[in-house]
Amino acid sequence: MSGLATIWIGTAALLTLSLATILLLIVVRMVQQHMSGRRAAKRRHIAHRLLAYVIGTDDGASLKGQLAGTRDISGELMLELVQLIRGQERARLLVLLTDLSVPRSLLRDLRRGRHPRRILAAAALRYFDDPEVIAGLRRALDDRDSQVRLGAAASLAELGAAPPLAELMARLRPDQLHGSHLLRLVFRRLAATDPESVASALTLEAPDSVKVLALDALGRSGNYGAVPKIAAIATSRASIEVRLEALRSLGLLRHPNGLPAIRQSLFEPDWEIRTQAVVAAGRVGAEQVVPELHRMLDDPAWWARFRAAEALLQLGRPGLLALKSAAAAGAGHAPEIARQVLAERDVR
Amino acid sequence: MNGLPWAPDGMIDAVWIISLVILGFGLAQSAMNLLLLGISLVTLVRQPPLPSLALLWGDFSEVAPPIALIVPAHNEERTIEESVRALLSLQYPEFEVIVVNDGSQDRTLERLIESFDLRPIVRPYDHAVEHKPIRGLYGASQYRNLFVIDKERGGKADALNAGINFSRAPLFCAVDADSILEADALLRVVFPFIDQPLRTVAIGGTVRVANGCKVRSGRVIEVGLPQRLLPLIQTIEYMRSFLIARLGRSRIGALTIVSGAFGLFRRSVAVAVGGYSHGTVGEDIEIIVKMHRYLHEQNRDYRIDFVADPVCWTEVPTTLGTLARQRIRWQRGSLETLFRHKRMALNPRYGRIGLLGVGSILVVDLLNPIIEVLGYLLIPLFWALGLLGADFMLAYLAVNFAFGVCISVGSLCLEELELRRYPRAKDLAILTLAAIFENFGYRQLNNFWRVVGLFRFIARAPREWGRMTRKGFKGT
Repeated sequence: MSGLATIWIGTAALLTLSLATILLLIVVRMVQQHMSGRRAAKRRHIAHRLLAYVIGTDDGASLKGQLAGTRDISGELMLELVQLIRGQERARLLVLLTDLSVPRSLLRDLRRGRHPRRILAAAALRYFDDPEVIAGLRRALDDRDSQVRLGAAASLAELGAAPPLAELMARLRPDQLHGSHLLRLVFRRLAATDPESVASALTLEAPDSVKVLALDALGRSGNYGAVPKIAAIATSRASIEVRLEALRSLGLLRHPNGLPAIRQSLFEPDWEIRTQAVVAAGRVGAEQVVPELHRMLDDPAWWARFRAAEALLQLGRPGLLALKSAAAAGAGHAPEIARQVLAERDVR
Repeated sequence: MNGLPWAPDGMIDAVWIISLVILGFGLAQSAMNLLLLGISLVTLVRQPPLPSLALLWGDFSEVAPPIALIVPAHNEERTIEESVRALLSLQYPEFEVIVVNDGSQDRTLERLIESFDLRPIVRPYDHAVEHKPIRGLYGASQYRNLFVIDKERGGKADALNAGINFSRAPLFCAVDADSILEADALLRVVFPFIDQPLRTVAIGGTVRVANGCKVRSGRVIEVGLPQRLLPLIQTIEYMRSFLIARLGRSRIGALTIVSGAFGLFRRSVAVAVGGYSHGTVGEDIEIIVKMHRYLHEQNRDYRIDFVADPVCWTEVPTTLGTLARQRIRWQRGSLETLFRHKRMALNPRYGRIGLLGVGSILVVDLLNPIIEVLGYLLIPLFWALGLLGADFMLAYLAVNFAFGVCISVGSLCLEELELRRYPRAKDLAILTLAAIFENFGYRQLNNFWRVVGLFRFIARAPREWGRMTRKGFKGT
């Protein structure tokens, strides 16, 4: 067969294959379309009954039987509802989910489902504090997909059942995670249930990526005991990313013990460090930094000047007076930014 | 000696060479498209989109960075209110909407002021990139995250630059004023920035054809197909372009464009490259190539990518005249970018983006239209004169027509397997017919317009956007 004949015969074969495929897909869709109308109606009905059950106007006598026959629809609906409610309503719904073996279906999805189902299963299992669920989530820490591993880790952390931090990090394979923000969720959950393990990640030996995660989590945990350690990191020779995160955490914690480190950082050569220090100073709210922030209104970096003006507004009357005096000073960076921020906030 | 006594041997050789070049080019293009189709299929099968974000919304929201939606608007009086209301109701934890009124001559600004009770405001901003002077800034007490910049006319790139300066979020999303974003589009398009925050620089989402859809209050409430042939064919064309070309190219590190209608960018990198460039009609492709160049030259590990699941709907031209102007402009934009960054084309120093990305602009946008149009004229002529045999003609028809149908139908199969936006089996059947018809006339017309665009670029003809008569999105 000549090359030319190969081309047109090959193309004809590909064309036949593609048209046959789409025709098959159309037929499949026609069948599914017929069934989906009924599914949508069923879903609406179940949603209505579930809401009534949750708020207590339906005693659920026949509900379980109905839901058992429509587990794929009802399981999905109930999980969506669980996120939206709290307290006794959530507890009732979780009991119903367990009675319908939804956790077991989720564990099956976690082991064998396609990528989207494994991700959703890993997230949904956090509502079930059960040894089988915990075991399944721990196995999922070795999943080939990073999102599934992270979802399982976040769920375990929320259940207070995460393995020790070193083991958790090894199984999550952080080198493959590219600094995923979802890892921050894991650490934040861990900080709520096991703050000591998170604080232990601030040691010298831990890589910067782990320190950043720990600093973020501790900053949001309200754990004032960590302030000295965080402050030391903020003024150490750690990388810029670590020091930025440390300053951010000090700002979130708002503890006055963090102020010396914040003040020292106002004089850093890196504009991002200075800017973050300014933000932290405003949050801590100590009036003794007003003179330094006043000076920062003339910083070479626009963002540092802007954040300094905003921070002064957070420092009560002394801050406001400093900003107003800068605004009245004539021309230059400091008066301009001061005037603009005062005008933006409509402060007279 | 040849079988045609009137044709000298030299002529036969020349015909044969020309014909082989034309056929070879077509084959190479087809092979590339097939490869991209395969890559896209594997990508979507391995990581299909999440059907619903309801279960993950809480987690994503906690770590989702703030976004500034920058909406350049020029003479959008008819649809601007509806568009802005729809943007304000997007499902995202923290975002601001910055409408940039770029010297409109109609009542775009007045409409915004009336609809949202806007008042003049002062808001300090960093003059990081260049743009024409701002005439006024407006804010709304009822919508704390809505801002309007009124500025002198400077074009879309200029308007986007004004928005970049004004924004305070680490990410900005460039959105056309007539684009309709799906409610969860921001959550989906931001995911790479959550997943790989250190690397991700720009992400494009899918743009789909809104003609024929039922739209209410700036939302697509029912997906449908256009009634008219021209937008129907564009539906398939967009599907092929986004699901195969963009998805496939992004996987091989050769994505050179993030659609101007819907793209998410890291503000600091946009500022580092000087924002959007003036003096080009292809500002969306140019900024991406500029970013690639800058990041390569900085030796940074970065990601510029496309994700299929976040969707933006847009109205497409319904008349040949408007479509022609649009395609000529797009071609011109590609060529302007190519020549601005010509040192990258086929340059191994720039890795895959140089070889396959900018290199493909050279091949696909510059050379291919010329060769295809020559083929339409010469191959049938050579065959009619007996200079080419039936085998060659069949091979040529296969490569230039039948293969195109395979690729278009292939994109439809991808759509049906993993995305399924069209609700009815009948829609699929209609789109299949459109995929066939697309390759008999429409594609050829497009190549002709691209050649026109090339000549206009060479002749440095005045750039024109033309006017697209917007029908606006009427409710049901």
